[in-house]
Amino acid sequence: MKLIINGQPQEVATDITLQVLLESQRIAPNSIALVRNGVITPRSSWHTTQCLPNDHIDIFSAVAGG
Amino acid sequence: MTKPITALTSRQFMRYSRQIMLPHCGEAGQLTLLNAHAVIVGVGGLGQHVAQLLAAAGVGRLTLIDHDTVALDNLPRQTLYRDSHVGQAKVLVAARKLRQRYSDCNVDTVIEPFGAPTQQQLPRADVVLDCSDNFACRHALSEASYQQQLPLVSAAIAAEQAWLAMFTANDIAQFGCLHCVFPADTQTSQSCASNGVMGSAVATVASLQADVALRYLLGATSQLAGQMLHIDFGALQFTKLQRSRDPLCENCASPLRKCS
Repeated sequence: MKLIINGQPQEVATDITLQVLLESQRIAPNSIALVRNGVITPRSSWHTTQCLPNDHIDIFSAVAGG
Repeated sequence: MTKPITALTSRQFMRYSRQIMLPHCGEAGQLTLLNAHAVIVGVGGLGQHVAQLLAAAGVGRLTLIDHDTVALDNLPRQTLYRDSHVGQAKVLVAARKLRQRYSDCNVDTVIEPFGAPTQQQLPRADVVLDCSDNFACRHALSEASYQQQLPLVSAAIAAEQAWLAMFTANDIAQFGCLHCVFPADTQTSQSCASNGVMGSAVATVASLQADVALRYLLGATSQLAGQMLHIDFGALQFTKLQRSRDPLCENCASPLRKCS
């Protein structure tokens, strides 16, 4: 199925969770925030949240500098 | 306890006239600012800009909290400091400069990192600004401000990425706290020290952070209710993201919710 990840269309396996998506992208889950269709999704629900076709997924780094 | 200011002097009226003209400020709003107390945690890149903007706007009392000293590589973005300040405590230099420039502003200083054993509680204030540079301090502030029910305006930047959010008790009840976005085990490889940052970008984020705080103090409608602003300076893209409460949040979820 197609997802829009950080603005770029990508084909991924169907029936995957956000957690599996991150693993497939080799992204360390505790170093990012994840936005699904404009909503920041809490990390505790990534392993149960299914990606749906054409979901817009935005991943941004956990920035802490000041 | 200082006596509340109940009327503007002629000089104050002239000095703040451009912001008094604004419908969300007015004379009453300016009095509110002159009687307001803001706590700024971190007076590095973000904090020293925020402190200048709040003091210049007439915020009557600032408490600056930071244990750090001025370093040479701070100077391109921390424009309150200069070469002769290298090695001096940032809060002391900042307080001295602010007192010289802004006679309406009283400045208190704390030379300790927030989150240290003696720095777990925030002073009673009207707003708290998180201008720190690490998640340990940011999480300590998120916990303290939630427990003490103090509004928190938090911002961060590294390289070309930044974010800004405001957390109030009402807002947290619906949309969650900082921990809901970045839980306590969050690791970052993105800091100004490791990834660099441009002073102009830091000043932009600090200005937005100060604006959010000033509007809150004035009782104006929040521009970021339930949201987090993400900024990508590389694409000059500003995106408002909807926040959502984590039912398992270690900070703001009730014990009942955590067990359910």
